Amino acid sequence: MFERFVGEARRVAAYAQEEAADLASESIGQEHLLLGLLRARSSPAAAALGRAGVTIDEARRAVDQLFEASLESIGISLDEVLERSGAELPPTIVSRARLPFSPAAKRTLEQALDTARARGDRHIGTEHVLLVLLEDERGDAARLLAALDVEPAAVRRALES
Amino acid sequence: MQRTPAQVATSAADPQDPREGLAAVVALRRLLAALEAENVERALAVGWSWTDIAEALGVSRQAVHKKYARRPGFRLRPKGDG
Repeated sequence: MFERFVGEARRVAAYAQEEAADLASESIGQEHLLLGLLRARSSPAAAALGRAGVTIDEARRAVDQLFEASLESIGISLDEVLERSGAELPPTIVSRARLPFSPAAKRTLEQALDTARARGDRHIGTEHVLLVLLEDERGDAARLLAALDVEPAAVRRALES
Repeated sequence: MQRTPAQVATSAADPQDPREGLAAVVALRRLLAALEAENVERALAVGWSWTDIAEALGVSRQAVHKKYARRPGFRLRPKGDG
């Protein structure tokens, strides 16, 4: 499906895969797609996110903090586990397995195609992927933006401006 | 007033909300993967074979080799490289 993606959009999937692997995730989720968009530095999506105040460093930090908070919610201290086990995040050894897209991330990429079509665009760019992520209010990209205290509407406005 | 992700997560932590519990499961899986990677690396470093490692993990040798074997595409990251 990526043959319809143009410019830096083609690289977003590879970036997202790297981000997911570094986080020891089992699949490429919407939050990794958002990180992938941010890494496609000269793309329209990264520019809009930047105008809305989102940077790759802060987004990565927010992913880490959400992870830590989730563990904390069931009584696990990440610091303590890492200290006692000597384990590191990102892991020093990375599985070579190709990660699958999560169902939500797969749906996002499919809907990006529909969005491009609906807007009369012949190619799929990073802006279409970002628009779909912004639409999915219960998704993991929205959760990440909420953690960054950024309104999806603000990003949408930045994208249209 | 900027809220930290931890504050957002806490304010969203409704025990009746299945999403919170499921998010914790996903976080645990990631932690598990990081712990497994660390311990596989440590075992390799002291000369354990894939067979030894697989046996200790209770999985097949193929399974662990497929996941971690040193081949193109496999990355061993220098410590501290974020």
